[in-house]
Amino acid sequence: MGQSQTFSEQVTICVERLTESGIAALGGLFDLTSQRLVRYATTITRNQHDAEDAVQAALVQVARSTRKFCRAEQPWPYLLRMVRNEALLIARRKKRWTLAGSLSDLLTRRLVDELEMEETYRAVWSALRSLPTAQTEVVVLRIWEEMTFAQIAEVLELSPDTVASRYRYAMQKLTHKLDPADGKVSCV
Amino acid sequence: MSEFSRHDENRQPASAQLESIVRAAGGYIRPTDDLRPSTLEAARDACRQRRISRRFGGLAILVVLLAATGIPEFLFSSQRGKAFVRSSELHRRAAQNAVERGVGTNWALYEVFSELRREQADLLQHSD
Repeated sequence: MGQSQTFSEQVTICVERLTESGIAALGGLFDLTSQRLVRYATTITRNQHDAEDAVQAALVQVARSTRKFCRAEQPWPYLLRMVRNEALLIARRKKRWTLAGSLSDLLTRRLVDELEMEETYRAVWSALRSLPTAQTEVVVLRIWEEMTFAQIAEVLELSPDTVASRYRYAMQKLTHKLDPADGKVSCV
Repeated sequence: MSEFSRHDENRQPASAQLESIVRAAGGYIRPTDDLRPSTLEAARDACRQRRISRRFGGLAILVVLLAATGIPEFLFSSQRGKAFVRSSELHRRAAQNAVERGVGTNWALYEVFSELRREQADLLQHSD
């Protein structure tokens, strides 16, 4: 959890710079948060291009109402909520027809020493896409953003119990789909 | 915390393994290269638009305020122009009356004043 607090603090520092320097400091906020925001929005829109539109819309909103954003007590969960709202709007508006398990829209990072892991990563992303969005976003916030159930509940505006139960159901399904006990991970 | 949350604290090894597999896949995707410049450009445009609309908003408020205060003032001053007459003009009218009607200067001045008061009273009634 310490790492999450550190990241949250980094976002807070960026927001302070945004207050002082205005839009000139938006690049710093983008560099710090864009990858996390895009991957979170991708789990909602199920398409990376739409996710990037959502992230762009949210950051433009930040630039337009900097003071309001800077007044937020916890800027990182606030920014996640902004991106979520934009992603939900786009997802409702576009309703893309996608093949189940298709990852063709994703722009992936291919590091030489991680090539052998690529199959595993693809299996994880396919498995996440096969879950209902409500469950996927809980998994993403819990595992990738290292948030507590209480923090996730705040972002999603749900009760911590609901969040925890969604997480448990999602992990049960992922266990079934990815089957890590075999040692080999593949999306079933 | 709920039962689920407590349950989460005592994770099964398989669950922890699954979490670490999912965690590792978190860095698999990256934003496209043009997202940064396009976002910053869109943000700059939005700020520019906001500044322009603020300026126009301020200008519109100024125009409305000027109109709100200026029009009654203009109307009042135009009425006032009719209602108020310089004393030299009154003396000129009195001298003219005295010559034309063959009355004394004081009486002519009295009549000019009476006429002026009637005009002012009429204007006051119309302005209501």
